[in-house]
Amino acid sequence: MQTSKRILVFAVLALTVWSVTATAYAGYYYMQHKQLEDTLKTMQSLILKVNILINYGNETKEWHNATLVPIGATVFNATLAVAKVDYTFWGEYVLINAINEAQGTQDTGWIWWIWDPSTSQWKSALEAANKHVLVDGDTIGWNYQNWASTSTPS
Amino acid sequence: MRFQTRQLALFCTLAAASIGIQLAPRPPNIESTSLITFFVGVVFGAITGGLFGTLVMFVNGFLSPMGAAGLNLPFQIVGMSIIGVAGGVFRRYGVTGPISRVAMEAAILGSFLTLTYDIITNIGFALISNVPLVLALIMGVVFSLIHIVSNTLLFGFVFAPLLKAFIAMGELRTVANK
Repeated sequence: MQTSKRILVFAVLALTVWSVTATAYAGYYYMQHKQLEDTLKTMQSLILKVNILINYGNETKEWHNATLVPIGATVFNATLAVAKVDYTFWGEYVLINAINEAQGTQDTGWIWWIWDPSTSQWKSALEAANKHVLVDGDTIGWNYQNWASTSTPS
Repeated sequence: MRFQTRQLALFCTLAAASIGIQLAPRPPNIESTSLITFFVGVVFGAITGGLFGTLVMFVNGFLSPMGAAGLNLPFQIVGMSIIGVAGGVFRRYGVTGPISRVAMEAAILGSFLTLTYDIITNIGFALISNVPLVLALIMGVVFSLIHIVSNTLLFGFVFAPLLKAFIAMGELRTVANK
């Protein structure tokens, strides 16, 4: 066989292997991508995205945006997911003693608020943190404040 | 007659070596049967190479540590026979020139023949399992890639020295005289 023809034959063989393998590999990754996309969709139907603000009352504010929590999670569950929380149960109601080492005192402590998008204002919580079930997109704020104060988290 | 006996002994030794390695525990899809079958094709010609591939895959189909081949056995036999026949064709057209060139050509042929073998066995799997062929090829691509890369390296690095040794031993007279 002529040298040039021979080189051509082997080049074609090598390119055939490369193209078939690369195409199959691309297909493999495409299928993996589709599979993971489906899994993500399933997961997204089981989880919520909420935003959590922690205001330490000393100008320090901590935002935890798009925090993923399972469906049925309460404000308490969501807070546990983003911060170190010291708490006490009074019967079936939880009382937050400290968030990230910021301990409450006789006059000050942690109060949670929820953002009302219809009025664009914070609404004070009327129930214990473990009693309020979150919905997707909720924004909650923990405020370290005087018990008598009505200051909002932001 | 003496020549025939010598050839038969060589054939049997290569068959035993190939089957022995094939049946030994090893990582999946890393094998030397393709190389040996191809080499038998180069040494003995296309028909013997094809028969060698058939024999080895037939035995492997029943005794493989990976499990019996079952209905995929005919496809494995066809795939390996093609590799043996390709060895014979390569002997006729390819085994000339500097050793580095032979090694490179063997590596390319190794990758192409391995791909062909994998496609044929995947066709078998697709038919048996009633899975679309494209899907079967895609799902097996990781194993296929391991197979192709390992065989490319094996053909590239082992075939040429093996050929040189056989020529030095006095086998492959026709090839040496080319």
